[in-house]
Amino acid sequence: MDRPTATAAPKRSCLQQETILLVDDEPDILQTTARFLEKRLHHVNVLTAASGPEALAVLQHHPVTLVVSDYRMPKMDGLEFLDAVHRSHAKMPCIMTTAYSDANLAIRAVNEGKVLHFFTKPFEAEELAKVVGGLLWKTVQERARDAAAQHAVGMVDAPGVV
Amino acid sequence: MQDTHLQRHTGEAEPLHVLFVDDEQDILTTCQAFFRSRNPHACIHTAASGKQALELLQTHRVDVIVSDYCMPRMNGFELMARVREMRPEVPCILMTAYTDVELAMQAVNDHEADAFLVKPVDPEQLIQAIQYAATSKGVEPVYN
Repeated sequence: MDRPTATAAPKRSCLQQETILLVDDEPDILQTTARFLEKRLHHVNVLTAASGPEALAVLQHHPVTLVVSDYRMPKMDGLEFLDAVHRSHAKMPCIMTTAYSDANLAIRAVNEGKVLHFFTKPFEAEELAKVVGGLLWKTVQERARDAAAQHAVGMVDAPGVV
Repeated sequence: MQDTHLQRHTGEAEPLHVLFVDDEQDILTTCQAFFRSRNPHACIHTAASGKQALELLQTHRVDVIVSDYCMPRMNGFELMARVREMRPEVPCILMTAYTDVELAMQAVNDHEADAFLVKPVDPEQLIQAIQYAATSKGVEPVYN
């Protein structure tokens, strides 16, 4: 890995820096996609991992907002990896990419992998950036809403009162 | 936070409200029976069309929608699009007799389906999908 994985120079943005984790065993795809997303989404910091186990280790040490994982990888496939991700990060938004456009895989990805978007390779990097950007925005809004709700619960401890 | 939702939905005081939508009465009856057997306190609504489902959604509390894809007049995707406009927080599970990659990808990518079940639906999978959708989406109870 020649990319800095943990830290990146903070970029000027009104949005808080969000970190995404890209997982793919093909180094070329990994690097190209990571560079494109960082360039295209200014408030995004991209971490990369070449396998499921490596990605799980990254998740243990870094706060990650969204995961983009390939399906076909040695050691641990994308579905096994996402299952492990959701065991420790139940609400982690996940995107899956794959070169195999198979109906059963797409169905397993949504039902078992809880993926929010499914890309078949080759896909437009621009399209991935659009989906990642949209999901990040949604996640940040949900986080703010949850924080406000927590605050409200703290203020008025009466369930059901809105 | 997730735990509180879990308690909210499994506790007797807060039964889960599920809406099943299918133009085939047999499927509605079967789904209802499956779900009722595991969740005797659940509040189950059924609708025979998308239109009827939208009417129910306006007047009743609904925590999760399970809809067939292939229905006359309004298909499952059209129904989900209307649900997203009216009640974006309500998770939608799609059922279909077709295992088509385009359909599955459209369901997740364009219609934000929370699960995609292939008929004949496995009862365990149906129950799991409903419970997961209800707890993971942080469904807020709505009181009318």
